[in-house]
Amino acid sequence: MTGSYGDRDSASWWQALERQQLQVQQCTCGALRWAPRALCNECGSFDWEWFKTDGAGTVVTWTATHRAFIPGTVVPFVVVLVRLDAGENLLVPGGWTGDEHGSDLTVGLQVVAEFNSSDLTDRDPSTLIRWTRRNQAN
Amino acid sequence: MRDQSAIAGVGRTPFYKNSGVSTLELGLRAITAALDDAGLELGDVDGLITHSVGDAVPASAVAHSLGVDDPHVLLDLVGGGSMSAAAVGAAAMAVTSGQAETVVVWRALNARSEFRMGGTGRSAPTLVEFQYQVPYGLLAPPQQFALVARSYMARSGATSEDLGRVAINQRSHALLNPLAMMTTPLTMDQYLNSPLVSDPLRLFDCCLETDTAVAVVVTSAARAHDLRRSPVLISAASTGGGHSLYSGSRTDFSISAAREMAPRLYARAGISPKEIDIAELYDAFTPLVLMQLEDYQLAPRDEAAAFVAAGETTFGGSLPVNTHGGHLSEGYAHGLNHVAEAVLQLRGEAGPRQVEHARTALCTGQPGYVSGVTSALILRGVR
Repeated sequence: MTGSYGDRDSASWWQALERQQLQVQQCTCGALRWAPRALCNECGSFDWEWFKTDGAGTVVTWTATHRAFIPGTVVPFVVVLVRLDAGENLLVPGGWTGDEHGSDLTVGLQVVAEFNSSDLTDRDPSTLIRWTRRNQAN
Repeated sequence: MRDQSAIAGVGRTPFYKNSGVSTLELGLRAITAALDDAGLELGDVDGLITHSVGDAVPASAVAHSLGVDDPHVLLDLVGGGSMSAAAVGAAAMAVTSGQAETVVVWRALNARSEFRMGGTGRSAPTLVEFQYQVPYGLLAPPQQFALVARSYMARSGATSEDLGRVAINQRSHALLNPLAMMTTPLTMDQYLNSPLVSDPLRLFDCCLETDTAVAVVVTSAARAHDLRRSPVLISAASTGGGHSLYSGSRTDFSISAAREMAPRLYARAGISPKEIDIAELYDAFTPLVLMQLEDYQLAPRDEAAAFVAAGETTFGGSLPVNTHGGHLSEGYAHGLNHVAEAVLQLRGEAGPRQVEHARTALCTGQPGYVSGVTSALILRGVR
């Protein structure tokens, strides 16, 4: 299914996730950027196109949440913030395929994106990023 | 703008778990108390500035309820702790530029009974970035700041015990503050045994959530000298950047935007960091105190934890910090209770927790991790 999650800047980025593609924007000046928006904050151009990354990156930081801030959430669970190898300024959050306490995580760990699709119709967006250790994925 | 405007009065409600009243009433009570403190009347108000995150009535409703039908300055700033100092700074600009003569600045919130920042069951804020985080379950401030805390701890070597000492220090200050919500000492054992909320943050790393309102009255320094209270001069106000997913340059979570902003703030005040006598540092979470001690150049890089452990940030130390107990142990008014405490200290009215030599205070807002904005004030007493 094609989701409608996101806003007018981001909807097509979310739809690319459904095709298992982690995209960022590339300006005509060459600069890459994420999260999606219209203007390059390097050169000021509104002209850009999607750039397909290989989904590889390194762990910047993470947290294991132990309190269910959303009722019904199973805790603990981990959220990881990853710096894409494609660019220093590309920081992308996602879930974690490893230990739910994050005991197998370290700053600088090499990871790659996996894509976790759901058929649940009430889940929006339908595809999410789950980071996994790079040596396991390759 | 240096020292051209002043805080002439401060007013507040108590801290509540459930105020039982609206944010409109909370605001009206704090504002009228602040006017009383200054020796001014409702009819004197010609400027109104507040800040909120969609959790309080707008400034216009408060203006009309006060009977201010023709406000000269009326601002609703979007932001929580990031904007508390900016709101006072905007009042200073309004007064200094002649746009208004008497500006009330307030923050009113039912942050415990109606809209818990870290609570369960509420929908996520409308920040555009949240669409990339909420699907992973990341939406509450303790989670956001846990990401920051881990980066800082990894770089500086700060430990859980170092965070605990911040919480314990501020609890000891709160015990000297009759307004404080927390009234019993905190031990390291209690801290270390408190539950993890969002690793590495434990329960006692997190601020309180309270219902309250705090207001200050800003007017010209010349006029403030003729009013009831000893004026507290606004020596400098500064707004700065922050971290966001849209930032191209600020991707190191171990330092805050304050590092970049602080030199501008001190230059505006015409002082060096060594001249700060007390610091009321935004402390939604313990690591922010350590990070700001470094980023405002009050402690050497990576040495804030040692600075705290040496007793420098409590009474008798070289730089008492969060003398009221802060958000961790006094209560939570998104930074304006820090401004209120600085005013009391600089007027010499802080009672058993008075810092005798307090003449210059630093008051900071949230250092810019979630909202992408930070702000701070330097205030000076003339007692």
